[in-house]
Amino acid sequence: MGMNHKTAAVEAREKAAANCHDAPTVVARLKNDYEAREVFYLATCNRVEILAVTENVSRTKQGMQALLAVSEEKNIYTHQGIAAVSHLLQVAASLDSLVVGEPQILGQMKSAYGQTIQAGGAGLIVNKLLHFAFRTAKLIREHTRIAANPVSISYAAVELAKRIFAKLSDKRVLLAGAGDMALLAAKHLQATGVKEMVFTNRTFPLACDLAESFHGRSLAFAEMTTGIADADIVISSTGASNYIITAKMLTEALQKRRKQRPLFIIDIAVPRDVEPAVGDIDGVYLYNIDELQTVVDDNLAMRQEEAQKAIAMVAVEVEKFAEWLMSLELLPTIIALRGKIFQIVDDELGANKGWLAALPASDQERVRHLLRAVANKILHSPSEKLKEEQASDMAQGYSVILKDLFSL
Amino acid sequence: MSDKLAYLIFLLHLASLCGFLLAVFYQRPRLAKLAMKIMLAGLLTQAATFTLYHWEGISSATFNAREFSLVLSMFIGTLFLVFQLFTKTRLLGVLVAPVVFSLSAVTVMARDDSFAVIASGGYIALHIALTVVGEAFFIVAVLAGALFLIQENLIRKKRAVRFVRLLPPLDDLDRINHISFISGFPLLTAGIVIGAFMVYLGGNTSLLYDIKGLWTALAWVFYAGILFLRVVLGWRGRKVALLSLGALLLLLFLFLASMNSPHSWHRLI
Repeated sequence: MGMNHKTAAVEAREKAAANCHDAPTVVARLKNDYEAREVFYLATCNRVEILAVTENVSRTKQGMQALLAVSEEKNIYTHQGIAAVSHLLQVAASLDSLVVGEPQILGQMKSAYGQTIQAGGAGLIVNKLLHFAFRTAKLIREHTRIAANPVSISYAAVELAKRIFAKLSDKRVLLAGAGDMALLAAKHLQATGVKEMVFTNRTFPLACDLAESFHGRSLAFAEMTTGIADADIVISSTGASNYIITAKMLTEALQKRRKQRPLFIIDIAVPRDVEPAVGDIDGVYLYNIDELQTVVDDNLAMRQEEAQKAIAMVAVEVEKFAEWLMSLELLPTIIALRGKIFQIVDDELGANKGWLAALPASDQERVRHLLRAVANKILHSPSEKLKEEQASDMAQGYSVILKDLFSL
Repeated sequence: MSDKLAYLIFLLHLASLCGFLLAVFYQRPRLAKLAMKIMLAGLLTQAATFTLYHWEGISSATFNAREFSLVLSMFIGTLFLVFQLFTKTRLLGVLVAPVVFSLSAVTVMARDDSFAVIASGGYIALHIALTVVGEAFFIVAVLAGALFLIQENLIRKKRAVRFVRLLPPLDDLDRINHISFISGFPLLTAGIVIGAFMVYLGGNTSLLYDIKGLWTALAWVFYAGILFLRVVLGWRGRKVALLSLGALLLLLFLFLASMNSPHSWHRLI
């Protein structure tokens, strides 16, 4: 049972997370007060979920609802049995995330699992299920392109730079203005290890402050042509109402430039800072905010297509988990049946020990061996059949019939 | 040369080509890596075949169509693999593999007795070796230029395309184009000079006006022009890529023209 960005507003999610408090609290309350056998608790900025293994479904559901502080039914979703397994696998594979394919959820789940173990919530089923979920998420990342393309404007800009430049470590970045998105792109670029960051601004002290915080260099706004001539990547995000980089200005800058190096210009300003004709100059690659957004939208669409493949992979893994779960249900039946039959053999040997004692020791052993062999032969076929059917719909039926027929 | 070995080389390059195509189709960089390994196996087989062939002294003084295609594809493939050591251009294989494969098909199909050059002495071998390596460099330069145009077109289109992340950065492709031009041009020049010198020594100067000789001279002028624009005027990127593609078309025309010239001294196929 849980709530996420699709079903509940952030206030409801905050309330649920605050009420749950932490994993030890959730585990203790559900196990002690609501008959849950195993519990897993996950809380992230986009979801609050509780997974429980229980014999008393209605009682445990009450406890979950109380913990999630559910005021409206529509705020929560509840999955039971295999549907719950499928949901957890989809969450781990980031198919249920706000941004499909984002990688953080897996780390958050691993951390939540660690807390669940410490709180004593994990048992046989939760342990197996979480490992299954981690494995499935890894499988999906390896075999689909669900996380391949950037879905944020700043990161998309960095990825574009990598398509133009083989390495960014010897590249100079010029940042004009101080827009939030431009600074984010600058941060991403700095993380790739660019050679130098140069900051220019109409308010020179602001450029100096940015240069200091990014360990870069400041440049007077009037010297921007020189800055462009030296730069490989230009990010522009000023509040200017006119173009601050024109085709004429850029042509002049490129004449000062050595060997016609390519120039990548990212114009994140609205209204635009860079004259569109700049993009027609040979060796200059210009992207404005709308064009970057188009790339991001295309990437999101591609991730959604990949998600369909991933959902099919989840279905396969859910089947495997269901098989394992079924085997858990049939295994005790098989053990009980064998125990019962061999108990009958032992009882009969005990009841007939009078005349058996008259036989030579070797014959006594032969009789014992014969009876056990007969029992084994009788049990072999049903045992094998049960193992074969453990993944099928018939398994449960076989188990009930056997328990009934043999009073197991 | 053994037909079995030629077929083995052909099959290895076919597998390599399929690997590169599947890598693009399914967007699997690992498949491209595997395709590169298969190509390496094909090239090693080619090298071994060539060495063995000459070691046995079967045709130490011949250079026929089979050998020409064998050696040319060997150098093109080798240059591509060498460039992988310092660039991130694995997917260039999508263009290199078809060329290498086509040449290996020529190796299989061409007859052993179709050679036109029978000579002894080191100069002819040097002339052929320098010219073939020079041509291999130029072909790699053009292929890198072609991929540059594809990648640049996609960047300018400003839309995300499925396989785009597999394509090499423009920088690397331009670098391969540049290195190939400055390395291949002197080799081809030396090859042509040695060839002309041999003709001069032989006394039959009419051979200088042989159809292929004339076209080679024209191609050399074309390449010299590209190199001038690139090194002296600093041209790079799209312009050079387009020019080098034009140069390849000229070379192809030259090749086809020499095929139909019955009296060409250079006729190989």
